[in-house]
Amino acid sequence: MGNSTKRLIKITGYVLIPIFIIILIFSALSLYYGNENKQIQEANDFFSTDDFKDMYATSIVNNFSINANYRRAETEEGEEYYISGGAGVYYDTQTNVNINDADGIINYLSGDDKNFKYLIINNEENMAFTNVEHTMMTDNIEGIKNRLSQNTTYWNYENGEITTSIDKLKKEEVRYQTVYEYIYNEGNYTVYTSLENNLPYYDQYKTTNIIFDIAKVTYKPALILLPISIIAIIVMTITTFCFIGLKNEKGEVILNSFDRIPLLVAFILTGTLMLIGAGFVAAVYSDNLIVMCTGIITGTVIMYMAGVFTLETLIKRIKSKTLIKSTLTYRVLRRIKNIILIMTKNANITLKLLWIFIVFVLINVICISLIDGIGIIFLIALWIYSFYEINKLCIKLYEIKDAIKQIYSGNTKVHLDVTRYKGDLYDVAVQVNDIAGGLSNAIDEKLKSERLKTELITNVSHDIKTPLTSIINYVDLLKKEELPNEQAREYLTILDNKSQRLKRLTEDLVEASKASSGNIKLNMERLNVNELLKQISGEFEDKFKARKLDEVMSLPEKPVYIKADSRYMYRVLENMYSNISKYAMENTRVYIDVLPNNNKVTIQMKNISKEKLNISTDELMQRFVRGDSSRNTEGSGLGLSIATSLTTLQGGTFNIYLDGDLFKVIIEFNREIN
Amino acid sequence: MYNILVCDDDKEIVEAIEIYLKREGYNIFKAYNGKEALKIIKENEDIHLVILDIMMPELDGISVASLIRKDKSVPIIMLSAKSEDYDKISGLNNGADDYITKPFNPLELIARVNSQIRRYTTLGSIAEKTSENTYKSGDLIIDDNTKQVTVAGKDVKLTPTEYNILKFLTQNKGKVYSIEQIYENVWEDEAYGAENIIAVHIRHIREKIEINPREPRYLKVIWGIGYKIENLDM
Repeated sequence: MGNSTKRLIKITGYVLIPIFIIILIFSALSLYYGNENKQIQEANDFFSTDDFKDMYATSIVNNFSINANYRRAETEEGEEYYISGGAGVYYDTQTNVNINDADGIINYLSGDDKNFKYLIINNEENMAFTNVEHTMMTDNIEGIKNRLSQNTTYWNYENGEITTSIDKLKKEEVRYQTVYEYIYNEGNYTVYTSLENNLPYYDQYKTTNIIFDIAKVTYKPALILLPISIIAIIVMTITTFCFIGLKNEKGEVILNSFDRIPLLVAFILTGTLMLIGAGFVAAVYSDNLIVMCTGIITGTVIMYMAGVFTLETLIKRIKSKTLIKSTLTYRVLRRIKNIILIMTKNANITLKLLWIFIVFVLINVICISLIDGIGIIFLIALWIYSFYEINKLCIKLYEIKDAIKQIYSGNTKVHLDVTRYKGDLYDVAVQVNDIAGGLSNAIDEKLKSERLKTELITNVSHDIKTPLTSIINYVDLLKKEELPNEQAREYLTILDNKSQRLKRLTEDLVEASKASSGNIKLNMERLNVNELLKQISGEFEDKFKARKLDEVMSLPEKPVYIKADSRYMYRVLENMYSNISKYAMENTRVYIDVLPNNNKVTIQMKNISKEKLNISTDELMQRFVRGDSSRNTEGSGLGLSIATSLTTLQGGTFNIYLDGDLFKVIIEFNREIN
Repeated sequence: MYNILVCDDDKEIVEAIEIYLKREGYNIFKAYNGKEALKIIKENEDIHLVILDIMMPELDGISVASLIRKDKSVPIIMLSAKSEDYDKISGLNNGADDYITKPFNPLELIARVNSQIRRYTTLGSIAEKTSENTYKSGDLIIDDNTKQVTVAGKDVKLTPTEYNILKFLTQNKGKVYSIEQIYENVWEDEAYGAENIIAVHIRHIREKIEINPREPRYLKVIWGIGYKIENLDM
């Protein structure tokens, strides 16, 4: 649904909600009225209800009791005056009127019930009271009587007899006997009353009649309209509220300039508007119903609009999270904060801290000096807030510290989320990330260059192997030919040996390079160390025998397990056995021990070197270094280096110890518990 | 007389191989790149073996092998300076029957050629010949009736102990047995540490039945776990 549709729905809601509220009020009133006056459902019109009769009876009694108290009196000088017992407004007095064949007075009075017209004649005093307008036509009693007799609804009391158009106000009606008795008891009166046809004036008769008519018409629909209007109001209120504060494509709440002005100013503006509306309602009081209604409606509409504006801007501000920010207090506080920030920006850390501390102390002092409880509450809130901020700062500081520690211990993949930090900590976090990234890149570069080196060595070795194949093959072919002399055969033997060594060297070179760069896929398995050593021992049995080496193997009784790659573990031990078979002194013993403890397995190999070992262990383990400096024997000098690299790759340790001619290799692995 | 196609971009290597194989009595066709090799195979129906280098101009050995395999079952031996596991696997997966790395031992090459030729020409229907008390894995056949062991049709002489070990492992081909288990099963006795000699026996067996004991085809060593006869009949 587009924003324009939503806006249309919202405006429709604004218009319909008050209409439905009016419907609701009227429905409720008519239902209430209908429940209070059961006759509404039975009586045909207002004039046949008990309400009307009560009202009419009350009008008779009230007007009678007010006017019957008038007495004609005479001063000592013979001037006439009237003693009034009632509150009726003295209006106009007409003397020399024939009443009861004598001179009399007619008092023209005004009253509240304008539709109710009466003529009360005091026969003893020759006085008459009426609220009929004093005109030429009504200048005498007969005229007034005629005026009254124009009306169809009447109640008259003449010569002790009641004549009326209203059934229930007859003398026989027990309920209204009081009216008759009242008048009868007061003395000799004649009373004419009638109700103006069509009720031209706005008084209680007219109002009640209108309400009755409306209620009569609306009672039944109201039963349905009341729940409908309630539901409609709820639904429309919710949809309207939802469509307040619409969002644009970026998901931001659309604000107009009114929503941006400070909240207080907005309130003052809408408040003024509301006062104007209220002014309309209060000021336009008129007898003219249309003028009055127009005034009330205009005022109400203005007030309603003011209310809508206030509500709308409030909801928009809440939805866009600018409610607090748009308050004047917030703006003032922020301005102060900015000033403080500018003041402290260039100061050193101590001065900065001093500022914060002084402000803190000041707030404390102010709060304490406020004697009532509010100060303490503020103070506690401030302390909690301060603790929260300091705690947050410390946590972040420790995060950065942890990151640095991790980088220090080799994890260069550390990355801090810099959006979490502010100010100085932000700078630190960014720098820590940069350092980690730099280190990580350097390590990646290193690994890459190692890999490239391995690739280079592998490729070069391929290129060496092809010509080497020819050399080896043709040397072999040459061996089968008849050679002219012993010298030539000796040369050929040297060629044969050297080409074989070259072959082994290229193979070992590739392997050493791969092992040292870790460019090897390991297939870790659970290996039985006893089995492994027995197998290798079997492989080298004849080579040892040829050099009269006596292998003394001491293995634990129960199998001992380690986790390693079967093939590479063989390569390590094969290198060692091969070294022993090459460099051990003839007719000596070779000791192979497997020494398991709780969590380690140690493979220990000892033999006596046939050459004097005038070389350090560190040198010995480097590439291309061999025990005999002359390099006359076979071997590439890469054996120890390969063995060390492969052992380390599989998670073990490889160490060499020299003690005189004793050559000792110790390989250690974590023990796999059964 | 069997015809062998040798293909390598290095002429000297081709010639050396020619000398060795001619001495063995084979007839040699020579090619110096992949396209030539394919052409010769197309023209000569009766090529019995192809020796292919991998790194060659025009068309590399792997592609040639897979092209040959499309319509021919002639054995192919790959010959390459590439010695990585990955290279061997890719060669064998693309139709090669064997893989020899440069620089090669001429004797090993001859042995492997002989083996492939025998297998291709005379042992085609070996599966049906197996009878009772005969155990086999690929070209390794043990006839328990005559106590005779042949590898690719060639007799192998074993000592009684070696024979028993080999028979036990071949009977249970594909399964890995530790030294102790082999001892207990072959000697039918508990092992008392004297079983170290098993490893030596197995090395001897390997030296007798394998062309290259360091890269065994039948009797495999799983270091630190045991030994097994590879099940080649799968």
